[in-house]
Amino acid sequence: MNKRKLSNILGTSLMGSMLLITAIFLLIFLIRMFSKGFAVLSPEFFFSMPRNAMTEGGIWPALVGTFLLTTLAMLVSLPLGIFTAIWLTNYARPRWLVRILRIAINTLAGTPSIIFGLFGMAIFVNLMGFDVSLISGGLTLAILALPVIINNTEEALRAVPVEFRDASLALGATPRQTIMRVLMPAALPNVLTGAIISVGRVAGETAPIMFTAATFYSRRLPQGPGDEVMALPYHIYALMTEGTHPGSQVPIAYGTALVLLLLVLLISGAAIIIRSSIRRKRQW
Amino acid sequence: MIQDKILELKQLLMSEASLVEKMVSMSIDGLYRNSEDLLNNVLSFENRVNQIELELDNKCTATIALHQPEARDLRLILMIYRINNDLERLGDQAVNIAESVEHLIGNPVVREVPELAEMKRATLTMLRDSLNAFATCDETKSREVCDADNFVDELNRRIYHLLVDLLKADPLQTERYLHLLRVAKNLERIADLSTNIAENTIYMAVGKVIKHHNEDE
Amino acid sequence: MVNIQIQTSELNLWFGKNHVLRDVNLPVHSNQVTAMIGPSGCGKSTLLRCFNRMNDLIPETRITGKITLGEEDIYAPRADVTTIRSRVGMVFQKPNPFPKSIFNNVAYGLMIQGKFPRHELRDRVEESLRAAWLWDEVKDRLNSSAMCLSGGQQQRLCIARALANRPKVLLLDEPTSALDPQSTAKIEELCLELKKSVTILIVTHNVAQAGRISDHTAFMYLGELVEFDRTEKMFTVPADKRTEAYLTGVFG
Repeated sequence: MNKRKLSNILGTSLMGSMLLITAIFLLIFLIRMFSKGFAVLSPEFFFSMPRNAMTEGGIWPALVGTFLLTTLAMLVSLPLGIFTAIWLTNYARPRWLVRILRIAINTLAGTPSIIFGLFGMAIFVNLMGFDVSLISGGLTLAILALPVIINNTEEALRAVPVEFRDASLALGATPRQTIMRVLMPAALPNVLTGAIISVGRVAGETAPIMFTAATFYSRRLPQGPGDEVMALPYHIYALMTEGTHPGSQVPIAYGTALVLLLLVLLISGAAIIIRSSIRRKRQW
Repeated sequence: MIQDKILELKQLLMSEASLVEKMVSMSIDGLYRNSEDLLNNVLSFENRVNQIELELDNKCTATIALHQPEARDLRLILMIYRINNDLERLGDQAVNIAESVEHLIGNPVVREVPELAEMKRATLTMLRDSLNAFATCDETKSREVCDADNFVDELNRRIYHLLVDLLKADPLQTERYLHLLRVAKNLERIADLSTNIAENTIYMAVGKVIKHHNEDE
Repeated sequence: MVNIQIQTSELNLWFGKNHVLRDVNLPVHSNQVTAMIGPSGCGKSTLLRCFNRMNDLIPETRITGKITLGEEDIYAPRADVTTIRSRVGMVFQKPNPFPKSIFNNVAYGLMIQGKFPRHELRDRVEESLRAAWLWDEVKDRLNSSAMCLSGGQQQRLCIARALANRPKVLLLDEPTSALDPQSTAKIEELCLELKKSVTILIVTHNVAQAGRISDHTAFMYLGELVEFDRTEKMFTVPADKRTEAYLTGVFG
């Protein structure tokens, strides 16, 4: 067997084994989560309030809290992010402003999430006086999601063939009309996919909401934006670190983790399905 | 697109052809029938023919330059070009005959050469047939025209010898006999040109060259 | 009486430091087809794109001189680009219909003006599709996607789309180079028909095409307008040696 064939086989085997290791890790992870948390799952677990110092009952308020936080975050970050991306791809003047923006976006994208938490606390909780609340947490998460949405939307817009833009302008459309009537509709599926993935990410963040929104226990569901909320990821953290009855609380933590995992998997799955159906239907 | 252009060229050629036909038959008839102002009439026709010849020349060139015709279209246009030339020369021959006729007006000398009448008939037939054959792209008729050329050549020889004898017999009529000789020569040229047209028609129709009688090879 | 629809005067264009068009003076006759030919890189496409200011989209473009459409200079500081572009339509080399329905494609130029009621849109769409010789093929499926059409049909759709604005001038940038011979022939015949109602300016790298359909031809070389004349004359007796060299295939 000659040298080239040999090195080809070696390379392929190496890559294959890497893949195998990754897959095995993932499998172990999933199996462990499942085995530890599955026992706790039941309809009651999903829909009832926690009881008895968190040793029994369900995670309903945490689910509601995560839902509200995520919704608020997306409501703020999506429009902001999309319009920023549109501006960056189509107007982008003056040059110095563009450069500053890009630095800002890239920095934000790489910032550790705990720093978002501190920032949120300093600005929303303290400076703006919102206190630990849904609104503080939502806004903090919005800033977290912003760079991802901007980059994703920009990429989606750049992926639209330039011929469409040329054709639209050549027919006498203004740049704004071109964006609204041709480019955005064409980019929308990809923008949407990115948004959905952001949802998954935002739902699972702990550090940003630690000091800004989340509480370990609330007797009732949040009544307004000024209320503090429970959230799934924080719930896990709290149960594992501050729980007083680890015997019953650790399984609940695993159960919560499983729920969060399933949520993320569901969202990612939805995004993948949407993306592949776009690819199939794509006509250009 | 190109078919329209070719049709235009063909129509132009046919109008030139009918003018030339008229010129030839007018001028030959002038030998036997006294017609007023024959030469002037023929000359005015010739002006028109020359105009068409130039126009057709330019149009053929332009069509080739702009449309790159191939195969049958190409042969057609090239042949129109050639026949255009031949028609112009036919016109010249008609003018020559008319000029000779001017000198023979009223003079019965032509009756001494009956073969001339026969030659006139044969030549006119060849001319008409060749032009019709071109219009209808008729290969068979064209071949008949080519074959008829021999007969006309034969007549020409006979007329020559006859005129030589007549000349020796009556030297006073030399000028007139020479004009008759010239007319015969013109008629022979007309027959030749008609043969050319027929040969070109055959090339256009089937792509075969039968010039210079090499068909038997 | 010669009627010039659009004319360039001393037009110069730079892409950054590149002097791409040099002192171009080109008259475009009304209701005629004017072809622009020349080897690759001679500037013919760039010149074409000057007529509807599409070069404005390219950064670092500098233009001097003027282009007059009718009475106005389209590069005047006050000139409205969107109005110019609705009067000077363009069809591109690669057919580029929007991923919308056939109807919405053709109506696009009218819808963005916002002043056409629905029934008038329908009439104009039909008028344009008929003018582009596409109506019979698509009249039953105006709401289906434009992307389902064949290449030749898509290009005719793009022509219809440009015609919907009832432009005075139609710019065609090598419109048939991506098409098969039948579609090409159809579009060439279409041009001969369209010139009755709109002035046509076509860039082509196919000299024979210029010969077939154009009334006037402009030969460009290295950014210069080397020769401009009636096509018939240029193709039989070109005035410039460079033109003759190009036409006889010496270069390009």
